[in-house]
Amino acid sequence: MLGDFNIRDNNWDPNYPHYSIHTEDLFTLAKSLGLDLSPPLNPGPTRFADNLHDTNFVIDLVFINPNNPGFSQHTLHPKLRRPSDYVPLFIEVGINETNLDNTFWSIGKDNKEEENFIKALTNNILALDTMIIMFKEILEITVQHLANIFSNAWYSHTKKKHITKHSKEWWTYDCTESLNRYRTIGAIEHGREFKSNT
Amino acid sequence: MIKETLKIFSQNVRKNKTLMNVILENNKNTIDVILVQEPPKSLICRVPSHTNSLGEPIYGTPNYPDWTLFIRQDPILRPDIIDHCNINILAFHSGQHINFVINVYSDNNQNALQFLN
Repeated sequence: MLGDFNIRDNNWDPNYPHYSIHTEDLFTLAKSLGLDLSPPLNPGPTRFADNLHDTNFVIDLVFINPNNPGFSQHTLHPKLRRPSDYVPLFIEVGINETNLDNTFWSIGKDNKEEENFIKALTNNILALDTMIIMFKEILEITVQHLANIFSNAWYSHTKKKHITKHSKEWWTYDCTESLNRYRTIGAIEHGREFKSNT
Repeated sequence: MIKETLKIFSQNVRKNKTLMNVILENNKNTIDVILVQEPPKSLICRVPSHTNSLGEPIYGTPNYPDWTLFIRQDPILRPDIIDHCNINILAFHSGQHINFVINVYSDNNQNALQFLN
């Protein structure tokens, strides 16, 4: 969670001697999301005063899960602020990649399996008795039954495939060629050719 | 593409359209997500209206071909969790996990913070 919170507080700005009444709310909110205030690697003001009388502020804050490798690793870039009086922040956070699922379930288009899948789905939905839904509990059971129908039909008519570096790319040279032809000439048959290639 | 880290750029641009365009251009090859507070808003066109003889004004923020713009009602910003003009929740999956990036602009009255609490 990050952004411009417009709160000045000695907790994150040592040059400011006061505390804000909003700080506790902000910390409570962050804690409820499992986040802590993440100090930057190069602390400094995040908003520069637009006149000589005011001091610079720290009001742009970053809250990150303390277990994330990006915690307290972000940087402030005052030289890149350009006409804005606000300093840009660069943050790099880790994305949890454990148990990355590199598989997917697939069904071929316009083939027997797709036909059987639709048939199984249609037959089972037609066989579902909806006249017995008199109470909330029966409605919930029926909805669960409907979900099972979709799930069973899908998994019994699809194949598990793995995403690899060598997975086939669907956009081919022919696609580019036919698209360019269609854009240049604009004839209907070129449009059809592009559609059939993709 | 499977990524291990997410690079984020965040800045309050004070409604400056030129600065917004510079940020979008300069970071297109290095940053994954740009979070903007106080984005610029300008008139795009007027659409015919029953109540306004000049047409209803439609406003928008700079768009850029190398970036995908997410605005308040976009499902990826999960308005079902929080629907507030100054809070954007970006939700994305990595494997079996859901990651959230929350962009907040809380004005001097702390409207966004009060809403979140």
